[in-house]
Amino acid sequence: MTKSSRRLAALFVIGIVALYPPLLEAFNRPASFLGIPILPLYLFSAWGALVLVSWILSRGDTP
Amino acid sequence: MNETFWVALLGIGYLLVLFAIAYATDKARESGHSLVDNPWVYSVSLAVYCTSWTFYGSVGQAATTGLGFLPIYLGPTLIFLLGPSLLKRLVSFCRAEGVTSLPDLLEVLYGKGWALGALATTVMVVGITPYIGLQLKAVGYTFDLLTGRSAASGILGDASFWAALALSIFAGLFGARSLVASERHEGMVAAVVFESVVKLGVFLVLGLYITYGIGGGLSHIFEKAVADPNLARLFLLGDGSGVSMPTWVSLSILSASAVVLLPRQFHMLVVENVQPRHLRTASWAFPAYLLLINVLVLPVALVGRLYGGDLVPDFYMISLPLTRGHTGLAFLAFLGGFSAATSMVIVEAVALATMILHHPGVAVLGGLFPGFRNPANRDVSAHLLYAKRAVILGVVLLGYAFKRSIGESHTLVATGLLSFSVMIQFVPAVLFGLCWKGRSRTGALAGLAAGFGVWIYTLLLPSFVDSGWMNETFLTQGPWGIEMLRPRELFGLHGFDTWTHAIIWSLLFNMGTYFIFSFLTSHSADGSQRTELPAAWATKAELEGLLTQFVGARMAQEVLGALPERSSPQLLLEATERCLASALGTPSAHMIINSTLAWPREHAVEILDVFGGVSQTLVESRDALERRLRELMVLHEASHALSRSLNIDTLLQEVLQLIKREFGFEHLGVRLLDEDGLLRIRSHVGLSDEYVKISAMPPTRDTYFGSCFLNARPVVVGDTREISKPLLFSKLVKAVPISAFIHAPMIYEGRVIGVLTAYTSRGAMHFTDEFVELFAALANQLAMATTNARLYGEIQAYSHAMEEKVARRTAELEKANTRLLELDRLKSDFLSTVSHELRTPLTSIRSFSEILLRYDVNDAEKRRKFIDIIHNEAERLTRMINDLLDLSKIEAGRLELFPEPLELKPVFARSIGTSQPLFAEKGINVISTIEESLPQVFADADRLHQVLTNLLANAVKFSPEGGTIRLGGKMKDGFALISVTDEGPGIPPDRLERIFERFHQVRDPQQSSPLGTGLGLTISREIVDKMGGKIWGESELGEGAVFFFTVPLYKEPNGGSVQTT
Repeated sequence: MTKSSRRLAALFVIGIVALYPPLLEAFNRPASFLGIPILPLYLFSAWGALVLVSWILSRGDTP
Repeated sequence: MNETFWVALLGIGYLLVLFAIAYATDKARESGHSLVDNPWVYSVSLAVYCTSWTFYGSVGQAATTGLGFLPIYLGPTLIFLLGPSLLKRLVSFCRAEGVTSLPDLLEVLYGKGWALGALATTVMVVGITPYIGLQLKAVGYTFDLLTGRSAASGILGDASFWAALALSIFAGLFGARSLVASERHEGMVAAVVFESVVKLGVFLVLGLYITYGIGGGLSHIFEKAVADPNLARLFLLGDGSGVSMPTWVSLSILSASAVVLLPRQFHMLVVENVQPRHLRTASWAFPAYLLLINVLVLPVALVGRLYGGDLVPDFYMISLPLTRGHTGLAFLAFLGGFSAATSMVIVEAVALATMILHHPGVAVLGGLFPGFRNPANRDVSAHLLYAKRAVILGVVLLGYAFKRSIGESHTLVATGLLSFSVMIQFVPAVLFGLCWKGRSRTGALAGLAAGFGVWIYTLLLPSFVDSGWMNETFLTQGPWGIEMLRPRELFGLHGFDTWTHAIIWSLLFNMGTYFIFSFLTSHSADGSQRTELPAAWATKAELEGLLTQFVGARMAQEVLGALPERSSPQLLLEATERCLASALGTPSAHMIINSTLAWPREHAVEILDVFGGVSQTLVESRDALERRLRELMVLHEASHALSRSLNIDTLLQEVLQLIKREFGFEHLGVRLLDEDGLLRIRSHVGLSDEYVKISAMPPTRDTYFGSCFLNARPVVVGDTREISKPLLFSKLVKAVPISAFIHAPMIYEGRVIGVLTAYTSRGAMHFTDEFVELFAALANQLAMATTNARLYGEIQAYSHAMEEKVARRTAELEKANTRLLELDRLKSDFLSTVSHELRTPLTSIRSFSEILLRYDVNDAEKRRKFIDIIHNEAERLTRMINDLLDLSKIEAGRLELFPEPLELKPVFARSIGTSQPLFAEKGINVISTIEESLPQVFADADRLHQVLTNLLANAVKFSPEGGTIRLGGKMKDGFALISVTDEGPGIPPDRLERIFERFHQVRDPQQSSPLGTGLGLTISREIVDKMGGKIWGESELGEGAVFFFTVPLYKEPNGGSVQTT
């Protein structure tokens, strides 16, 4: 397993922790941030962050 | 023109664009440019995951349940983070094993047999058909929506029907280009990529329009939504909202498994994967695509809820622009949804069709249509390809049928999730299959069956109830009124939504039975391993033939041609099996391969008698192969024997013995055409000498070997009772009871040089075509070797002749040389002798004449004596010079003879007279005797006289004082034999010949000075030879010597030829 694939696997674990209960419950409340409800905002941000980080990580070692 | 026309035109036009793209890509690939070998293309092609469910259904779900649509994309996002590790391993494994579908994978993981694959395929078809129906429904519904007409009741008026037809044609053309499923379908992939780009682009355009054009911006929409309590709950999970936390988790798990295991996903992920490293890009690019296509779902849904009134939430994307009069945008949205639906239908149909054919459609087809079996060596690849296309059409139409019957009552998401929850039934089998050694086939079968059963019970049957097909009491009271068995609250489990409930139970049953049966049945770690191919023997050509039957010649050549020249049979078999597996499915391939390696009986049951014909031929051809091998060995040995020797007879005999040994012919013969135009038996085994003698005859059509020779074609007589050319045959049969024979022409460079024949006396015989071919090949080899040997013989003979000639010449030259040297030596000897001999008398003459001149020799007596000496010496000098002149004349060939008839008597008298002074000097008595009857001789009188004088002078020289010299003449053998006998000391026998040589003098031991010129005998011999006689001497030491010479007799002119010069 290459370095980047191990890092991505680690990111997979982080993603599971971030996107599912119990951590998710922390954002599961009726509040808004910048006019956008907090749960959708958090979910899309976390998602975008996952994609972004995985993009950066997969550039880690050139083929 | 009404709307229907334009929308239909749009759909058709779009499909034509797809055809063009797919066609161009396939063309490009044929010319060597792979447009799909690109990580981006691969990533985007995976977006076939986003179907019309995503395009329309996500919005609908967001509008009703809020964030419930998200887990469907979060699951795939997370699982793709494992792309470079877990998925890459899966893809590599599948590609290495030639796996083309999930049932294939299960077969590979759990060993041979068709039950597991067949069950998996059944599960797939049952689970996926609603999903295809869902796509067709979306197409039909949006079409109707856009054209504003009411849903058509008839099939022909139903847009989704036509779409189904068009899509199956597309799938048939570009998804079933080859029977070999592991071959990539680049045209199809390119089309899918195009569709993915279209649907994303359209969604973003529409999403932006709806969000900003209708909703007035993100913050505005959210402000309004939060203010609305009905909508505010959409932003939360759990109680009160549409999605509970368990649902959130279970939907994630469902989608994570579906994004890998759904037939279309598996196909795109594994089969269309060009290089596994593309997965690295896909691990973030595909999630990015999902994020992009989802980011505006919530705003659109909210806008729909805020402004859409009672529009169907599933189709806000089209209806919202329509309500604002933006028909163009609605058309665009239709196009996006259309592309989402079409790509899914196409890939799904292709993947399912491959599956159905492999597990075990091909085998079933073979059972239904015996034509597939016999004749077995027919190329069935084209038929199989059409079967595949028919299956594709069938799958799409099945989806359509589902849509027609019960699809109307379900939302897009509900139907989609129904399919997803089937996919998760495969997860235990695949996951544990890949990493657990204790896995067993029975466990996998039981687990899958149990999970599928629970799925039917908890999800499918309730959906039938929803469609009104079943009584609702089934749901509310349970079957037969047993509440514990209520499908949606099985064993009293409640508090979960339908999906979570179904997942919990089905996975529990699935994994439970999987492990129970695995533990019960797996006996050893490798018991369930894929059975290795037995070591076997098969040739490339044989396997190519086999492959050609199923996948066509081009593919067969490609597959086997890619292997190294001298691949082991094992390697060839593996490649063949992989290719067959990819065309017919692993079980069928395994059966076919096994049946090529074993007797058909062993596998008769398992093969379902499908490929019985194939195996039969293969077994036959195995025998043929072995025979062929032996024949090749014979040819090889023959050529070996032929190269061993250049002697014709040796090599013919060796080859005949070889044929006798290998094929058991008792009588063999080789006839060669000799220079006299007769065909002769040059070499044979076991033929009678008599037959060999009489069979030498010119080649005619009256004999079998003759017509074989003249026609240059083998002649085969399998039973001599039926012969039609009895000439010679009776002679042959007299010695040996010939019952069958074969003649083969020996052809070299287009010329027949002979006939090779084999006779047998073991009864009538059937000569196979192969044998005749082999025999003819042997004959030709023999012809070549014979010709070579002949040429070699000729060359050798020629070189021998040359050598002899050279040796002879050399010897002649050497002789001439020694002779020349001898002559040279003799000449110098001669010169020195001559000068010496000339000087002796000259010295005497000079010294005596000096004495006479210088001193006053008064004594007259003395003076007279001196003058006498001078006179004698001068005479001797004259004689010597005369002799020399004679000799040089003789040597130069200028000696002229004038022969005439002569009486010997006067010649004798003249010679004695001439030599009288010599006789007188030594007081020698001469007796002359001549036979009375001696006739005249024919000779030159002067020369005869010269010879006689010489001999007499010689005799005188060696005779003692007062001796007797006998002169004789008599007849002998038609010659006159003249002899001169003296009483001297005789001549040693070793010198008898040499005395005739020039200047050879037998010196008198008493006298130091020679007694003559030494030329007399030489001259005599030359003269006698010239006259046609012979001269020789006979002597014994102390007994005197006799010189003989012969002179021809005179013959009357009419009595015959006369010796002349």
